[in-house]
Amino acid sequence: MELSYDAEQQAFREEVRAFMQEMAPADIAEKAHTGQRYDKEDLKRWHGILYDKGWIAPKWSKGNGGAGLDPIQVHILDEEAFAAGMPRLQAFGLSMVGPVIIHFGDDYQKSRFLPKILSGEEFWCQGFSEPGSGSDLASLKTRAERDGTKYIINGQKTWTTQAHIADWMFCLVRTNWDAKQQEGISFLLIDMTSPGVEVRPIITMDGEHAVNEVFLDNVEVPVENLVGEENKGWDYAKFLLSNERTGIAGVGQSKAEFARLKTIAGTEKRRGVPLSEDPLFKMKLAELELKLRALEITNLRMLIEEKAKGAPGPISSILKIVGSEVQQGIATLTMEAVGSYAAPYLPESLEDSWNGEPIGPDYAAHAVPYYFFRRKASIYGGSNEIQRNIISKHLLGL
Amino acid sequence: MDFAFTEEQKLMADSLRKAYESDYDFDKRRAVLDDTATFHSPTMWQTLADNGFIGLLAPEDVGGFDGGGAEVMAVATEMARHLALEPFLGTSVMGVRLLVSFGTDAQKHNILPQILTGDANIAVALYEPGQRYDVAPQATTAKMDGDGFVLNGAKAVVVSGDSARWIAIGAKLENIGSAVFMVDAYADGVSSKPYRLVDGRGAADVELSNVRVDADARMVADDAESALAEIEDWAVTASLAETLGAMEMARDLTNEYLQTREQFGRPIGKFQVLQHSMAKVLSDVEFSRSMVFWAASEVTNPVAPARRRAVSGAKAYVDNAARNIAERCVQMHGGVGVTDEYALTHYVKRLTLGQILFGDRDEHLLRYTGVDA
Repeated sequence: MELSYDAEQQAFREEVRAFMQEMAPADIAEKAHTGQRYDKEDLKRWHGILYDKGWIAPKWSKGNGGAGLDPIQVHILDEEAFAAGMPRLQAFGLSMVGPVIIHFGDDYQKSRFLPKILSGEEFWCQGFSEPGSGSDLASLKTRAERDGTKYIINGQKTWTTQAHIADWMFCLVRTNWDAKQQEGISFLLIDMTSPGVEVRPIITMDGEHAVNEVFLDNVEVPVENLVGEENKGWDYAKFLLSNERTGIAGVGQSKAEFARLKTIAGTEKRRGVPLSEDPLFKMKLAELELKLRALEITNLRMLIEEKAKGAPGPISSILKIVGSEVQQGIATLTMEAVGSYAAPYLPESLEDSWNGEPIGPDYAAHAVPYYFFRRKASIYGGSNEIQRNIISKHLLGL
Repeated sequence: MDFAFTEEQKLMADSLRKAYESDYDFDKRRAVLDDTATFHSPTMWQTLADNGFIGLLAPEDVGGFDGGGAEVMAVATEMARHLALEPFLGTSVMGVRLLVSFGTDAQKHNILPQILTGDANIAVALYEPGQRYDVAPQATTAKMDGDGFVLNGAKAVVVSGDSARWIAIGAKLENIGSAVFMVDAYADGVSSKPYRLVDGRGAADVELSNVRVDADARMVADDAESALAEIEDWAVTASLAETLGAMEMARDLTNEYLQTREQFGRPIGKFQVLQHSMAKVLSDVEFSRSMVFWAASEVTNPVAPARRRAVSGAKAYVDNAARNIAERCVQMHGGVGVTDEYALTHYVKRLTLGQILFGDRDEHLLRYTGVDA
């Protein structure tokens, strides 16, 4: 039993930290401080910096153009990037479809798609959820019919994050209506510029345009964009989701956000005393900090297991639940800490295009929209109720 | 970084498990619980002594194991799984650690060996009546008397005090400061009122009325507070590990019950409302385990504020989880979950006691935030 990072891991952290100090753009880091939204250019710029360093795909093997880091190193890189105020990079290409193509794709798909995921030249989105298929994903109804060398796709996807800036969508479609639900699904790669693809924005309660509806009307997809075998798409989706669970705890980001919350609590005062010394608020901070500490250690335990066994396993469901609770807890306390200047509602001020005069402290405008934004943490990636179903079935045998 | 126990630590826990499984099943334990004279099994305690468990934290040169936080975690977790009533916490963790850290050479030479063989037990008095969880002596005093001291005062809820031949007492000195004294429980003026704790283990209230001790009874510590605070942190760490063991058992008993008990024509574990409650229990056990790892790895930290921050942080967190698990497991069992004949309620008692002993959740949250400032 040894809870400290070893010398090699410490050295890696120093290396990463030095890199961040030198290379993390100050204007992007400033956005983390005030809660401004990162735009596509910010993401591309930071993506390019990590790409040049060779750290853009930390988990991919070196042979595939990745950095070949182990899970603990990936975690260290993640922590230091968030501590430096850098944005979470597009997971859809790097963490989701990339590994699926590496494991199940053919040579054409590897050479066509992987280099542009790595370089950031092409952005991806995920076509999983449908209007009638949320938590019950396997009931999806988007239809793909084989017509010679192409599939014809008809249907609708929804909650599609970043579809409006994505070049490609990896998509689950039904190719067999007679088989058991899970056995009639295929995994297709769809060019978002194809005729018949229409993206409509969904504006969420925080005023942000991040998610979309995607309508697919007789969209033609060449059969070479089928990943793996027809009707085996559910297996690839499960593989993808199990990868998604790694890092789902969001420890690095939550630690950075908690540090900012503490700064705000040290600035805002109640009865002349900083909230960080206020008897009530201090206790709320302490309890949240302990929950974050428990999350951090539990996450490290899972990462070590992953390093040894190669996969995190169903226990990662408990990380998703508590990780999202911590994210929501930080957003809630940040809103409380800001006080009455959390009331003015100016979500447009979080965009680059805004030139107005700020109202209240520079961190105030972000507080309530961010609280709203975090509501989805317990809904996406398999809602927390679905995670509890997974725990019951796979860990408790109920 | 690793969270694994060594082979040696695993073997220790394993031999403990075998000993308790063969000599100490639930019914045999019941007989120990019904004994009004001795609150633990002397036979089992001797077995523990013979196998080196009392000397877990003692140096190797006196026949100890030279263990630390990881060993305490491994052993205390296993003992709680068997609802052990033996004075491991008070004697092997608190008492032995106090002697090792603050004993005079003479105390280490004369007293420690009797403890390790199981011939005499030791307990550490941390608190006084009316002072809650403050380890600083308040009403207990030590007055110089020739070449010795005279002690007066009272100590509350001395864990393992029921069977202790030696009791460590913190006392205020006449002019300034405080000290810890090793007191013979059989000495004139020492009166002890033994009782069982919530989970059946023994403790005592101790009164000192003009108790005369030699000068060399005074232990090697700058003051009583810092020495007793360190021992208290060891006690908390061991208690947290016990809580973890009890949590695991409560979880397993409840999960088994959900799969066997049928209502409305199916196992009640098929009902989603109970599945999700059970998922919360599983999650709370794992996050608590992480916090026990934290306490166990920091309890040996020589920087006292860092040690205290981790141990108190872990206690504040785990107490909350322990209460949640205990109450949920009772609820999921229904009526069976409140009966004395069923093992679950005994684990619930252990989980409840853990929230009370050595500082409750509020106390440790205050400590955690205090040193964090």
